[in-house]
Formats: sequence, structure tokens, C-alpha cells
Amino acid sequence: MSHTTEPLLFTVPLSFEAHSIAQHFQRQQFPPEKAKQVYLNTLAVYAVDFYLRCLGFELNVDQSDSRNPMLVKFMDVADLSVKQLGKLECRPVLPDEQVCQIPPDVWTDRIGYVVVQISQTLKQATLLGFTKAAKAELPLAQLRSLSELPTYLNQIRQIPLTSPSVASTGKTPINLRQWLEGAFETGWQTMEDLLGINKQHLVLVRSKTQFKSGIKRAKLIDLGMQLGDQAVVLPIAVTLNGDNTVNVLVQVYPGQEQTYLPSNLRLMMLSESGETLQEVCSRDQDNYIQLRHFKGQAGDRFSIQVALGNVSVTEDFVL
Amino acid sequence: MVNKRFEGVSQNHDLDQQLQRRAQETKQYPPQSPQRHLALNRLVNKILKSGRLGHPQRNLWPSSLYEDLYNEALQKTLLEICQKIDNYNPEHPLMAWVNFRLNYQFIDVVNDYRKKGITHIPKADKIGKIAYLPSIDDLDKFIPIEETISDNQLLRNFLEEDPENLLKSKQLRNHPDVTFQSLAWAKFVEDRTWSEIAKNLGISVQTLCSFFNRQLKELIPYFRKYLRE
Repeated sequence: MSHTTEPLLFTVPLSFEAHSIAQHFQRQQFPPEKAKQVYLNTLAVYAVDFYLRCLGFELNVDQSDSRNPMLVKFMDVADLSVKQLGKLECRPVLPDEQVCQIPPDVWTDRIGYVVVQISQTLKQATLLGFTKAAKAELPLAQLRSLSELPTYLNQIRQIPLTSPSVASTGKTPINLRQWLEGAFETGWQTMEDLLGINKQHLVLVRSKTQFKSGIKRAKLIDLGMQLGDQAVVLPIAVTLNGDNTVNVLVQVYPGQEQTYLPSNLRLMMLSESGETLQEVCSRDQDNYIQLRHFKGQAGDRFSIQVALGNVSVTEDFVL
Repeated sequence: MVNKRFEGVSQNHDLDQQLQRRAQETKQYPPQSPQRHLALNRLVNKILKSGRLGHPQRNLWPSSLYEDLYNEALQKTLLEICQKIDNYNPEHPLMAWVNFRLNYQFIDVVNDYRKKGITHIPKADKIGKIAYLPSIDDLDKFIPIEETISDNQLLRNFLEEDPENLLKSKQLRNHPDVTFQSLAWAKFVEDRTWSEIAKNLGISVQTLCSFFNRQLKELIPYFRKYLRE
């Protein structure tokens, strides 16, 4: 009777409420294959919604794309908007399926993907596990255990969005040398965790070769109302040279919501005294911008500023 | 014989103890903590597997309808238990509390069912008054209603006519021939997948899809102006 080896699942009985919602969204769809997809997607979203409500999360179901009939007509989408966290995609699989298909429609703008098995009778849904990053074909054997999901969601909630400020904050500077030893400050995450697999790929391709072997961490930067509710991502890559100097590469990428950066977004490197050492500005439809990579001695200090209009966010660093 | 009976009693007692301990443990974690989330998940599983859930009014209903009524009530009960776990008094057996709530939820579901009649229940069999929820096989046999078919024809016409020329003016950067209109047509009318479209155009799926989705969201008001939802 030991339960220790069994994977943690969560079972949701599906009845009138679940089916009447699913039928409501199915009714407007054509052809029948599309109507079936929408029905199953809606049940999967319903199941994850129920799971999260049981756990005490607050949800914005109505703000989910999956509840917008017009979007649903054109997209294969099963997202669930969770307050303070973002969108969780809920993909249905049938009992005999071993692989979960994640359509390109939902490869971006997601904090994760929960896979939901729907029974043949459609009377029961089972949350099987999740993944942080999209993959077109996701073998169910590769799913992360559902037991890790609460911790993961909690981590996302904990990331403090850097609040807008006009000048350097006088906080303790971030010690980049410690990154090389594997110690990272709160809020600095891997690109995979922040952006999902697709953009991460993009980032790797574009990084200079010397930084591929280095350490890269990124932070979400919220420029407040200037960007609506959207944030940009500030990745910083560091490598250690033989002479104990450190190479630094600073970039800015669009957040999960966007393909392009807002235009006229400025990325600046400032000296300790606040003098601008380098500056780049995004044009129309830039996928990313970066500063010329630079090298510094132990103890060197500098600041990185991201600015849009008259709002800016500054982060201080020490090498 | 006597021994067996006692054995059974002690197993029941063990299960009660385990459930009580689990509920007690869950309460100790702060709300919104990952520890509590995990404990709630395990508690729900334990309740479902306990074999101790009551079945109120089981003999009063046809079995297929009963299953649906019961599932609805059970689901609401599980949610209630999770939300009110802090109110649970560990001096009483957990399942007594769960079944007490389940009885009430069942009565609510039945009342709701009677009040709304069968109209809100999908595809009810009106003669037998037996609710009928579709299975996967039924989804394959789904027949769209007339209104949906005509709405889709209107949408198709709208995509083609593009009365304000907005759909064709949204062009993919560096690809003036790839417009929102051409992509929408390929997706919606020709029913092609993103990978087919991408292959034909020699553009990555990701690029097409993010362009399309972004434009689609911006164009929703335009769609709404000319089409009913």
C-alpha cells in the first residue's frame, strides 16, 4: 500500500458545469474537428482552474485567450490566466496518447504547460504533470511531477519586478563574480525559466561564442505603464578570463508577451559616477539590443540602465 | 472470525488517523505556501482513495444520471474542503466532515438540477429526463448548428472582403506578400497547419505565429464591428 513511488496526480470529476462551459465554446466552432479541439481544450482549462482554486490561487479565467471565441476560432489555445503569475497553458491528452502536442500558437507568453488527461467518457480529468518550456512534441515520460508545480509557481510569484526609479538606488550592487561560483541574487533567473525554450534558442544563437560557455542570468524589468503591463528581459552573461578579468555581455529582450522590443527603448552602461559610457537604442521591430561587450577588473563598478520615455530602471553591478 | 472483524476495525481506525493527521498537517502550513498547496493535493487524493466517501440518495436516481449528479456534488465538496480546511476540527473524523458537506452539496446540486430542469444540461434526453454528457465518441459525431455554419460563412466573407482594408495592410516585416489576411485565409478557410504554411513560405513557424497572434488581438475590435460574436 505504499504510495511513495506513485507520481502525484490530481483528479477532477467533470460534470454539468464543466460540460456546459465546454459546450458553450464548442457551439460556435466549425468544422467538427475544430469543435472537438475546443471542447477538449475547455475541459482541460476547467480542470486546471479547479485544481488551482482548490489550492487557493486567484484566477482571471475571463482574461484568458481560451475564453475569447474569436481568438479560439483562429488559434489552438487552452490558456488559463493566473493572478500575479501569468498564463498557464492546459493541454489535453487522451488516454491512449503518450505524447502531448503543444501547438506553436502557445509557444510564447506562458509560465508553463500543464498536461491534462481526459477520460474516454469525458467524466474525469487528471493532471499528469507540467513543463516549464514549450516543446512541439512533449513525451509524457518527460513531464515534471505535479509535486513540483506549487514550488515553481511560488518562485514566479516571488520574483520582485524591479520597480521604476529615476536614478541608481544605492542598493548593494550585484556581484557578478559570485555568479561564476553559482550564487545568484533573487530575481535573476535562467533564460529558460524566464522565456521558455524558443526564445532561449534565439538568445544562444545570437550570443557571441565566448559567452556560450559563460554564466548567463536574466531579470524581468518592469517599466510600468510605459509598457502596459509588459516587461522586458535583461540578460547578463559573464565569463572569467585567465588574468582574472571578467567579460560582460548585456542585452535586452522582449518579455514573453512580445516579439519585438518597444521602439526607442534605451540601454545604457553608466560609470560609478553616473556618466554614460555606452548607449544603444531600439529601432522599430528590434528583437533585441545589446551593448558592446566589455571587460573589467575585480572590484570595478558600473550600472546598467533601461529606459523608455521618462521611466528608467537601473541595476548596479560590481565585478 | 472475531479476529478478522477486529482487524477491519483497526484498519478503519488507522485510515481515520492518517486522514486526520494529514488534515492537521495541511492546516499547519501557511495559506498560499507551496507546502500547503502540496498538502492539499495529497489530502484530496487521500480522500478520493479512502473508500469512505458517502453516496447520498444513491437509490433514488437512475445510475447514469446519478454519476453526473454525484460528480458535480463531489467536485464542489472537494473545493469546499480545500477552502475551509482551517475550520476543520481535528477531534472529529475527517470523513465525517467531508460526508456531511457532501450531503449538503448533493442536495444543492439536485435542487439546481430540478430548478434549471434539463435545459442547461447538454443534450439532455428529454423523454427519460436523464442527463447526458457527451463522451469522446460523441464529439466525433458533433453536428454544428445552422447558426454556426452561417456565422462562419460571414467570417469567411469578411476575411475576403476586408471592408476597411485592414487585414491586407498588416504585413510581415520584409515580406509584403505575407499579410494577416493571407495567413487568416490559409488557417481558417484552407484549414492548413502552421508548419505547412511555414514550409510553403520558407518562414519559421515561430515568426508567422507570433506575427499572426499579435495582429489578431489588435484586430479583434475590427472583427467585432462587422461580425457578431
